[in-house]
Formats: sequence, C-alpha cells, structure tokens
Amino acid sequence: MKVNVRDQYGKALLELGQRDERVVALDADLSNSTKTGMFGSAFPDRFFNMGISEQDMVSTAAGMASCGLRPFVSTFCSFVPGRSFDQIRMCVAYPDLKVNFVSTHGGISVGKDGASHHANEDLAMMRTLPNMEIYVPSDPQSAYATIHHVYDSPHPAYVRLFRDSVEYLYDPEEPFDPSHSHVLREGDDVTIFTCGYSTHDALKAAGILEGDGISAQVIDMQVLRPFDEKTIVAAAKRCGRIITVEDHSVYGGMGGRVCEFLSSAYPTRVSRLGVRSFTESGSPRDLYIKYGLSADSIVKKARELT
Amino acid sequence: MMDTKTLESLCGTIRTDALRMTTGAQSGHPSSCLSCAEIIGVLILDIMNIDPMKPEDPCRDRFVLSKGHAAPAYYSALSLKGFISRDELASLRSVGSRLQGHPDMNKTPGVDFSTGSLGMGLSVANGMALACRLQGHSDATTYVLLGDGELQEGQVWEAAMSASHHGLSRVVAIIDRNMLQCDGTTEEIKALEPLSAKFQSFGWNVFEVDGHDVAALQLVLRQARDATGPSVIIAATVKGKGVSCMAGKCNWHGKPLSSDACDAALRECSL
Repeated sequence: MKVNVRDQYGKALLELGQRDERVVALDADLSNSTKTGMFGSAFPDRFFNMGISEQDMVSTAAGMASCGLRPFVSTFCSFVPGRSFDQIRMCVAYPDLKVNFVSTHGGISVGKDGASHHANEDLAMMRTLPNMEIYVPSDPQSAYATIHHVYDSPHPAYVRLFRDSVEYLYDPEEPFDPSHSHVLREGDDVTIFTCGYSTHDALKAAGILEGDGISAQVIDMQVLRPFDEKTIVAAAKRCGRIITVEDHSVYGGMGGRVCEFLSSAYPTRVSRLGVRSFTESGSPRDLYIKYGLSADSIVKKARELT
Repeated sequence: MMDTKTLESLCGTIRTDALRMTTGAQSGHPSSCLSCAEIIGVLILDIMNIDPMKPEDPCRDRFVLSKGHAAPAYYSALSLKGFISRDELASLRSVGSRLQGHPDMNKTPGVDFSTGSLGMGLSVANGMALACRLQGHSDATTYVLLGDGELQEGQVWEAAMSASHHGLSRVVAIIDRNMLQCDGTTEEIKALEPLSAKFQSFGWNVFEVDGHDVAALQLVLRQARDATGPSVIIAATVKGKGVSCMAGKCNWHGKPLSSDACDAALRECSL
C-alpha cells in the first residue's frame, strides 16, 4: 500500500506538538502540501503561516528558537533552502540554533510542474553549512522516525521529503534509527548507494540484476550529516564497485559526498547517477527514464561496471 | 529613567570607544558607530530591562543590531552596562577575541542575536516577540536597530507586513536615517522616501526624532514601547557625527581612522 511521506510528517509533527508546547510550526502558504496544516488545525496559536515570504519565515523562526521555542519550518525544497539560503546560513546555522527545516517536493519526482519546481540543488546548498544535519528519508516509516529524531537532535536539521506516495521499505511496527545508513539488500558485486525517492528504483534494479547473476547491495543513505563512514568503507571493501543514485544534481549531492569521503578513506571507483542539466515537465516516471534515474538506467550502469 | 546628563556623557564614551577600537584594529566602521552611538547608548543603558547578572533571563528585553557593522558601539555599551569588561574592547576583530567584527550571540555576553548580513534583523525581532507573547512574557520588548540602506532589502518589508499582521506591539524598530550607504546617498542609489508614509501604509506607528538628542530618544523610545501595534522610530542622524573629516561624507563606510587622525578626532569629541 502506497503512503505519502508528507502525511507522516504531518502526523509526527502533531504528536510532537502534543508532547511539547515549545514546538511551533511555520509555513509559507503551502501548508496543505507540506501537511503542517494538521498541526495548524490542532494548535492554531503555535502555527504561523508567514505568507509567501520564505526569507522572513526563516529569520522569524530563528528569533523564536533563540527564545527557547522549537520551530519546524516548511515549504518546498525550491524555496527553503533555495530562496532563503543566506537567512539559513546567518540566522540559523552560524548561531547553531535548533530550527528544523522540513521541505517537501524535492527533485524531479515532483513531475509536471517542470524545471522551476525541480529542486536539484538543495542538498548541495545545505551540505556547505558545517553543522546542518541532513536527512533524506526514503519511505513513510523512515520519514516519520526522522521527524521525531530531529526534534531533539543537537543541531539545526534539514529533512528533504518528496511529493509522491511510495511503498513501505521498513516495517512500520519496528523502530527506525535515522542516525545512520541502512543496508536494504545484501550483495557482493556492486553497491548502490541511494536515498529518498530513488531508493525504490535502486531496489528494483537490484532485483533485475539478480536475474543477470549480478549480486547488488543496496544501501539507503538517508542521512548525509552525521555521515555514516563505517558502512561506506565496508561496502567499498566488499564490492569494490559503487554506483550512487539520487534524485538531485550530481554536483554536490549524496554521490559527491560519498566520493569526497572515499577519495581519502578508501579510494574506489564510483559512478554517479543524478541530474546533470536543467530539466522539464513530465510524469515522474518519464522524467526518471529520460534523466537516467530509472531502474533500467541503474541496471545498465551496473552491467557496464561488472 | 537615567539622568540625561549622565547618559549623554556615557554616549560620549561610546563614541570615543568606537573610534579607539576601530583605529586599534585598523578595521571596522567608525562612521556607522558615530551615527547610532546615542541610539544604542540610550537603549542599552536606560531603556532596556536587562541585567548582566541574569543575561539569559527569558523575561528580559532583547536587542537585535540589524546593522551589525556598528558592533563596536554595541560592545562599548555592553561594557558600560557590565556585560563585558572595559579592557576587552581593545581585542576587537583579532583572532580569539569574543568581540567579532559583527555581533556573535555565542561569543559575546549580552548579545541577543548574531547579525552581519543586512535586512534580517526585523524578522528575527518579530520571531522573538512572537515567542515572548506565546510564553507569556507580555512586558518583554524587542528592539531592533536598522540602517537606512538596508531598507532596500526586500525582507525588511516582508517583516514589516508580518509585524503589523500579528499586531506586535512589543516590537520597536529604530532606523538610523543617516542618508548614506556605501556607494552614495540612499536617495541617489535607491530612494527610500517617503519613508514615514511607507511604514504608515504597512500598518506601523511612526515616530520621528533627532537621533543624537539623548533626552528626545529617552522620551520617544518609551512612547514607542508603550504604543499599540508595531512602532518604528525614524532617527535623523549624521554618519560620522562629531568628527569633521567624516561627518556626513560619503566614502567613509567601513574605513577606520589612522592613529593620528584618531587622536585629532578624540580631541574634537572631547570639546
């Protein structure tokens, strides 16, 4: 059964609001899409719709955090961090204030709204801030757990969610630990590092590769900071061949992070799949095929490597 | 209310401190400090409910120096209030110092928020006021000092809308209206006038004052604090006030005086 990760955010935020009256939510006129509206209905005094003013929203949340509140800030990934990077850098990251950014509609899986709405640079931007925790959940359960996790994690956090509904990858009855990466499928010939929406295509690719006699390991890199160095070195040692797949630019995203780390820790050949140009309108599926993120693209790359 | 003569004398110390600090560091913005020395001095030393013994008191008033480049004047006022030592002022802008080029809330006791990139302070102040209202600290007032040039940042007007939309009576903005920015006068670069009418149309109470008149500042800051709805004080000032080589002149933004020029300026200030 497919479930929307944004609904899981709404649900978790509501629970946090019930538990802690310091929790407030700010949105920039997209609360129906980001699902902060659920919190807003339950706690109207602690919900601030800032209008279409993302820069004002971020700095306002920072002022609130400096007074001891626990703000969750939401809009689309295009606008936070895209529209408001200096405010995030100056008002939140530099003073190390506990503001949680939960942005939705990341990557080309947004679909038909087109290139203006395909946030393919947000992870790269957030990665440059040395204390920003970065999470890219892949399924409803990890999304839900991540919201609870960032509520009292030590630093400002960025959680990137996607638009579409997806199947569960993790057991909703089991607790999920967002503080490290997760091996979703074991394999010896090639490791596929992925995160977010792309994780579903990566798993599908691994299934196809199995039919070819290629044993592919799939690792959900759902947290980029803190960075799970141990799992990455172990995978590099085990397979010696790595593919990274992400619904984001190849410039500065998850694949770039893996390469930066491995180049000094355990030099290994890495092939990065991701977006390399501005994009266009289309269904998520058609875009994944055209821009080389589909299961078939991953399979093709794995066959080249093995 | 602090005796006006005493306060004027302390504001004079802020002026001479800012000159000495920036000349010592051979870096910084003395003319911007001279423009707002009285505004900062009256706020920190007379108006605000703050206590160096309880710097984290959640009920305290707060101050955001949106024009963060006037940090030396801020540090001087904090030293006079007892948050930091007078000796520490000489460490401005050097490695390891608690006194950064622009204010850092995690380094300097008494600094309520880190600033330095223009146009953000009013939003931050709104956030503080919303938090204080939610937490029941109904008397806590948030003051924010903006340069006039930074009003060209769009975010200031987003925040101006937010403050009136939320009815933030405990936000008091002061505009250091010295008419100058880096490359020329504000009216040449991108005109701000009619400034008072702009704020009125955004739903603000507008007060106007001579930003170097200590007694008038003591009065108007109290009026603004007690008014209903957000209040802005447009303070007419002179950039580089009191130092004839830079007063009211362009091309002095971000330039410290030489040691000799500083000596002359200090003599001029003591007249």
